[in-house]
Amino acid sequence: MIEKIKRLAKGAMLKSMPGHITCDEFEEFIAEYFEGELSAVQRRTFDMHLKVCEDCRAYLKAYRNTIALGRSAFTSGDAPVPEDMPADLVAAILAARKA
Amino acid sequence: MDGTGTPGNQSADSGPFDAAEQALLDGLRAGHEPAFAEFVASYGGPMLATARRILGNEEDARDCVQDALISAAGKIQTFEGRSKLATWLHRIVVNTALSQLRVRARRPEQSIEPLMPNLDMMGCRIELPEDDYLSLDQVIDQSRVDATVRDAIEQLPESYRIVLLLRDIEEFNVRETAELLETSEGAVKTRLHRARSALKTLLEPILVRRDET
Repeated sequence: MIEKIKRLAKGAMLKSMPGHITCDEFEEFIAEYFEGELSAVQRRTFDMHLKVCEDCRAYLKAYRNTIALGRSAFTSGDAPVPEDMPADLVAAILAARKA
Repeated sequence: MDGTGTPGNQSADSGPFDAAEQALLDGLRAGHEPAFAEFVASYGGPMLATARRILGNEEDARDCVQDALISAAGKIQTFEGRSKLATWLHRIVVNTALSQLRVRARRPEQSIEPLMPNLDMMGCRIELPEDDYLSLDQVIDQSRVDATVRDAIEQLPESYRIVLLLRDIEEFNVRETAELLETSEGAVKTRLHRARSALKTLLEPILVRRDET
């Protein structure tokens, strides 16, 4: 209950402070942030929100790790990426082209 | 779009062909059968991996690679050499796989909303404490992480799974991803963000510190 009240107060404060954004507005910046496409003003606003919002800091930490895990899941040591073309598939393609 | 146009990411992939690749291209353009056999054997493996990731089915992936390689050989005269051959083929196999997906309607699209971030009525995020999340090194140290992540990606609704695969795994940029999916760059960014958010939710069992009891 106390956490809920603290969050409501934080939301009201962020809405009333010039230059600050709420978490749902921050949410809309994240895609551009990871593409490196935020303007200088947007980047300052983004960074300022991160300084005051521990929930978004935690979220961004987990989100960044998620991207890294997705990228490595198919390329790391135990990923099922074939290096060679199966011989039977090569034969099938050669036969199909002649047909 | 048939995937045989000029590849988009030329700055990363441009460069002269080595002698072997040039000889292979000359052989393909002349219609020599041994050149086609070498082409299939040399370039098919990575294409098969891509098709498997997108289609999630061995039989469909093999059909896809067959169609893509035969199509590419038939259009080799249009290959302008402004990117590496592997880059050109990568785009062709992705386009072929996406066409297959459109035809077969792989599975009904499920709502992604239950996996979206939790925000309260004031627009404030409801999140676990930062210290509850492990560092990336700590996450990776757990067993079967890659398999867990691949399973989670497979659980994403189809249109979100595909955009995440194209951008984060196949490494197309936003513009190229938009071209492949025949949509706008804005739509790609929105869908990609929602896909990553949903994947984060699905991965919380491995992202979060567990109390040792």
